[in-house]
Amino acid sequence: MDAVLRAAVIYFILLVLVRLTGKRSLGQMTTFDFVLLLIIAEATQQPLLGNDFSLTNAFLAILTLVGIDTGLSLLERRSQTVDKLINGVPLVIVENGEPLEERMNKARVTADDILEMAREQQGVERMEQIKYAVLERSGGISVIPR
Amino acid sequence: MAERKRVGDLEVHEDLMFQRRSWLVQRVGWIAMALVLLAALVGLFGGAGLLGGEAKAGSKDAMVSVSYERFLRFMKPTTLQIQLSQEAGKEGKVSVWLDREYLDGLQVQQITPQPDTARTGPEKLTYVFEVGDPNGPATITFDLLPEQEIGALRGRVGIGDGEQVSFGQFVYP
Repeated sequence: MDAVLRAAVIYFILLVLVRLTGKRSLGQMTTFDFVLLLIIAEATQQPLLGNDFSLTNAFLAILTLVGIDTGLSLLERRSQTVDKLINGVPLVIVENGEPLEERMNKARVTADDILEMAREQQGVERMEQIKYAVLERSGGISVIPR
Repeated sequence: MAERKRVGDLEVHEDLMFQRRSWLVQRVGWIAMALVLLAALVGLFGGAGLLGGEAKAGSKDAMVSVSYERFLRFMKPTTLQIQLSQEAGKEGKVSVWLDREYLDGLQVQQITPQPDTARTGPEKLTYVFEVGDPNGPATITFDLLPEQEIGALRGRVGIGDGEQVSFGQFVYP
């Protein structure tokens, strides 16, 4: 039983922490984000499995995590509220060439971030050539040129 | 899904109210994280720090005193030091007992010095030690590992039929 409990608790703690740090942190992975991810994975391993080196323990932990993940994805489909809680909502940050400063500040996105995405995705040169830029739920930015 | 929301020419499910509330919750979350880190630094979660370091408890007749860590963590080794006054050891041998309920929740990894004999009892586990130097106080060290219980632990230590020392610890999961 404790294998299942540990896995469930760790899943939810990580879910809450990731949501708390905000989209920008894990949406676009920088090198350091990657390093951070590795360290988190290491730190999670021991409390997840404890002192128990059996196959059964590992299997139960994995099954619990996959089970919760599947369960939540089913729940998301039925309830929009749950979906919003877990995944967040998209946010328009540039409208008709005008960057929406307040939203960008709150979402911790800079104009440079937007322009970088615009160059990468659409070959756009300037802010005024962007019709819409949306901060997606994943943390990535999608750019729609004029 | 529900109706298609539109923002200008974009069909996108924007929900500003939810977004603003999310941001608020996020900021509250950050404060909570900072508080937790602060509590950890102060020692509230075990380890070194102002509150979590060693605590002492002594018996009323001052024969026994115990140094213990107030906050423990599951599977993290801890040390219990029992100090005996000179009076306690004057006969060359001393019987120290710990209550069994306390020891049940922990694994005794090492006892320094090694006891001569260990006796079980319904409520207590008694260890008999030889006292090397009857002219001074004696210290016995128990290396323990919390491996069964989490939550509050109450322990008692005493010598023979004399006064006992009670102490409380808390084990974090």
